[in-house]
Amino acid sequence: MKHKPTRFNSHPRSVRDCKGSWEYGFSLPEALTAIVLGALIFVVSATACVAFLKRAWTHDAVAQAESLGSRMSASITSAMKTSSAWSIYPDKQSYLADPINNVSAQGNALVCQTNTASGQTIVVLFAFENGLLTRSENSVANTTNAISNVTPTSIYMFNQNMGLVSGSFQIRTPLERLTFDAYGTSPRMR
Amino acid sequence: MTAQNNRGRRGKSNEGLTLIEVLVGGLALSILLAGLTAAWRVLEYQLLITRLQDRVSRVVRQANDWMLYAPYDALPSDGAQLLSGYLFEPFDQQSQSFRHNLPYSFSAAVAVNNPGTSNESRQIQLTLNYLLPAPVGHETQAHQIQLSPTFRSRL
Repeated sequence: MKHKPTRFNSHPRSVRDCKGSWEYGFSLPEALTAIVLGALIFVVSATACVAFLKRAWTHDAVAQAESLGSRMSASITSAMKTSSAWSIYPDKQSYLADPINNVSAQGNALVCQTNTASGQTIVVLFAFENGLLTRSENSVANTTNAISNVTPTSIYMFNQNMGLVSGSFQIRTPLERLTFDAYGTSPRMR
Repeated sequence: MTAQNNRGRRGKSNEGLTLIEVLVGGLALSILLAGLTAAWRVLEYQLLITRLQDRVSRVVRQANDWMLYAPYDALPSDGAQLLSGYLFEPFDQQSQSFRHNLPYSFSAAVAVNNPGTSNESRQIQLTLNYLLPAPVGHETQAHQIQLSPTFRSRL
């Protein structure tokens, strides 16, 4: 005798009235197949969704780093081209210890002094330390801009060549590395 | 109920799918997925090109700054290549380092007026030569941007 698959149906009348039609319900193998297929579709779509979100997040991180780097780069150029005096120091500590005698031709700290038309003096310090590039105004504690995951393009962040000051740095993101170069000269040097 | 009615009620909709219907359904699904994949690739390409074009603008701005502020004696001679770099440096998981893709460089066309005198001046035109990825495959396309000439004098 041929074994018939078990049918699941909540309403006994439909079994009597509609033999052979779709109202019969599902057999156990059909139900299991549907569950497996459903689980497969869920896993595939969840994986695709996670991959999409992860990619969107990394692209956002790159866009953010690019924007921050461009702003910092423009800020270096702007500070240099409006400065009445500027100096490069090996690092921030050297500048803080002795701003007169620790001046260097290249280093990881750049100080620009600008005099406004109203006679106010603004001192801007760009300093690279432990992967962090910061811009501080008038006081080291007053950080106006900071970027992490930064490395100098060459050995030092800031260099000068016959009065042309350049700042070259790279920002590492999970997806790619971004390189920025800033150039500027004090009006006195032009 | 007669046998004929039974056949009628159990008509086509209750018989399940034929092999042809399943194959046609599979084909339609495949075409849909292929279309989605192609659309996704075009979107990715457009996003990358937009980012790279922004980068090209930044590189041009940096070169303009350099031309404006570089000391006269450091200005390039005719035909010199300068300010080179890479537009795209993706992280390579295998080597755990950054690859150097899509190189760019500037070439200078320089005309010197009154050479060797105190009135010496130079007209410098920079041309940016760079590569961008092609829409299809892993090919690259060469591009060029000519910047406006810059006039610099020794005095």
